[in-house]
Amino acid sequence: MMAAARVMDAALELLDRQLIDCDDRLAGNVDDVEIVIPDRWPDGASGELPVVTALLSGPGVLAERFGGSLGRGWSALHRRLHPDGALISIPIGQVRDIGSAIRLGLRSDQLASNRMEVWFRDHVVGKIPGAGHAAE
Amino acid sequence: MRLSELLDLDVVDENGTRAGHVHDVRLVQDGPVGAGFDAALRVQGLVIGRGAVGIRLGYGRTLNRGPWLIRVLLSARHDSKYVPWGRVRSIDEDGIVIAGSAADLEPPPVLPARGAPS
Amino acid sequence: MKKLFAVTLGILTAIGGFVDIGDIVANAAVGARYRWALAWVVVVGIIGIVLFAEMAGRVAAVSGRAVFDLIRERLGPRFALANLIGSFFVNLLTLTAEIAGVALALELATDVNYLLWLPVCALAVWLVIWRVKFETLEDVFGLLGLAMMVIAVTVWRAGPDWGSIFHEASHPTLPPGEGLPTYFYYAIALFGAAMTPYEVFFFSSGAIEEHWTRSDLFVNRANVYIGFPLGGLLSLALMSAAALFLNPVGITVEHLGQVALPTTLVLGRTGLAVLLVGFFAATFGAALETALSSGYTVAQYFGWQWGKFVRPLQAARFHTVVLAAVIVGAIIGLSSVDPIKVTEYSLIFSAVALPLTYFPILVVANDVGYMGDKVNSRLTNALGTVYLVIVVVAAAAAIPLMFATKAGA
Repeated sequence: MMAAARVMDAALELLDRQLIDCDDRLAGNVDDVEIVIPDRWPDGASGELPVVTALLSGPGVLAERFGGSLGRGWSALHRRLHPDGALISIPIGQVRDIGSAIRLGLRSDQLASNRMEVWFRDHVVGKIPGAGHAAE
Repeated sequence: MRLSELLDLDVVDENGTRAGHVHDVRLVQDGPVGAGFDAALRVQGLVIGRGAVGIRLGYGRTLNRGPWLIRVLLSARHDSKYVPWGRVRSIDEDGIVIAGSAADLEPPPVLPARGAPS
Repeated sequence: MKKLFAVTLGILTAIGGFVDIGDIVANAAVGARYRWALAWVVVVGIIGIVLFAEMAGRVAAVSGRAVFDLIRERLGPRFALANLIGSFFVNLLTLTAEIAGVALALELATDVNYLLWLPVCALAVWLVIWRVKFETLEDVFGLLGLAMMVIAVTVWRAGPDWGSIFHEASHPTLPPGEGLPTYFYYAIALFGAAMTPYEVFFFSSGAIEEHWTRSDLFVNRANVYIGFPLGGLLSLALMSAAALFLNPVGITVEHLGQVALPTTLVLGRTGLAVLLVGFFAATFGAALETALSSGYTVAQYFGWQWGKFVRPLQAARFHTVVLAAVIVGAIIGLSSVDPIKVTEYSLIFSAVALPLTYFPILVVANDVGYMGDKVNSRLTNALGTVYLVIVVVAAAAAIPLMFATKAGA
């Protein structure tokens, strides 16, 4: 289906929005947006527009947005906890809908931002009896 | 590059006149929806302006009829202008240089209302 | 039956939010000290919370987004983080006060010191959150909280001169020897008791727990228009009971037992028993709300899965935050701070934090992108703007007045 061209402001309509995965689970926020500028820009690339390639999500990304001493401290802590970088990049092709939330075509357990959730599930909440049952 | 690196960058024109700073990046999505967005979301231009308070509230850009008081207090201070991507000459950490004079920049077109998502 | 229970979210939010330990203490204290001279603040507070909760519930039903989610979207991550830290702190203070309130209600019923009850209460609060379905929790505590109505019966049976009460309320005068700053300090505390941010965090998140959609907007209105005015009525009843029975004999409210005195005098032991059930349900309900709200706010800021509509394993970080908040709240409560003082401070800080929550909701409730044709009406916006001014003035005045009056001493 071809939709009519839709215009949106990235900070207003993408940044800090809730991500929802294909199972309707809440899957983090959009903490930043990856934009790729054409290689030969500004010379020889006239008419070619930069492309949004990915949505970025995770505490490490958010820390870099903060800047200042808080951002630096938070980033350093995050790098220590996740030495492999743990950048969470969601290819724009996985985005299914942009509305009051952003719906994705993948499952949240495929996202690296889910690792903290897994840790707390395995080490805290999962240890308490009844964690796996729905409430009554 | 990241969206957050563009936001708040200072914008000057060819003559070195300050035009404001980046408030937002305007995107156009003209590709298909539903089967994935591959390469369909592209940067059309920059929304720039002077004020800093309440930019994220969207006054003056979206159809936010808002309470009158807030609308008047916030949107009047912004003095938003639109820079089509074709006029952007260079981007670095110190700021953005645009072609031509800042004086002939137009206000950004108001975003259409899409109604509430389902 | 389903329709009857559909309004229990509002009743729980109102009984546990409007009439919580803060309201019980503040209204009784103000009634004992100022009689009806501050009744107008309760009316201003009711209208304000109705307006605020209706917008937040409507935004949640239409856009599927709860309050703190929107706060970050509209204020940006830095400002929203400062807001989160502030709100979480106020919430934790309130949670501490509510858990202590449950324990104090049990102390009145059993003569066992509240400090012994406190850990039991904290555990019970957490267990209910862990094991009981959201809808059940609403129905049980919403309906049990109706026992608070006995305070209205107390005032009714006392047969006061309604004409002179109305006159005192509509022509407020300072009691002899009282200063204006202290009067306004108590006005802000009462206002903070009525318009508490956590009520709205809870109400809007609750709307999503219950999977409200556009077709539930009438449920939203029914909840708001029935629940909160009921809470306001109870607040006025608490104030009146204290004005009628405590003011003439010069009792100033320093503990929960004094709030129960009028009911015991008028309705005897049975009345007292019913009132204690009401105290218990209202404070326990508020403890549940504040404990859940601490999880809601943090999870919504970061976009984590939250809520009781999924199994605890599927919202591990959310449940960890709730558990931690209950533990920390219990520890603060056990550190032998005066629970009534904690309550009073939590009210003042609520008033300070309120604009940070109120303003983004007012903005989003007007945004066509979220709300479609369900944006605010002109009347709502006119009232909304008046309250924006009130809320900002109250927040700005709260801390200076607290210092100037030595916290209402």
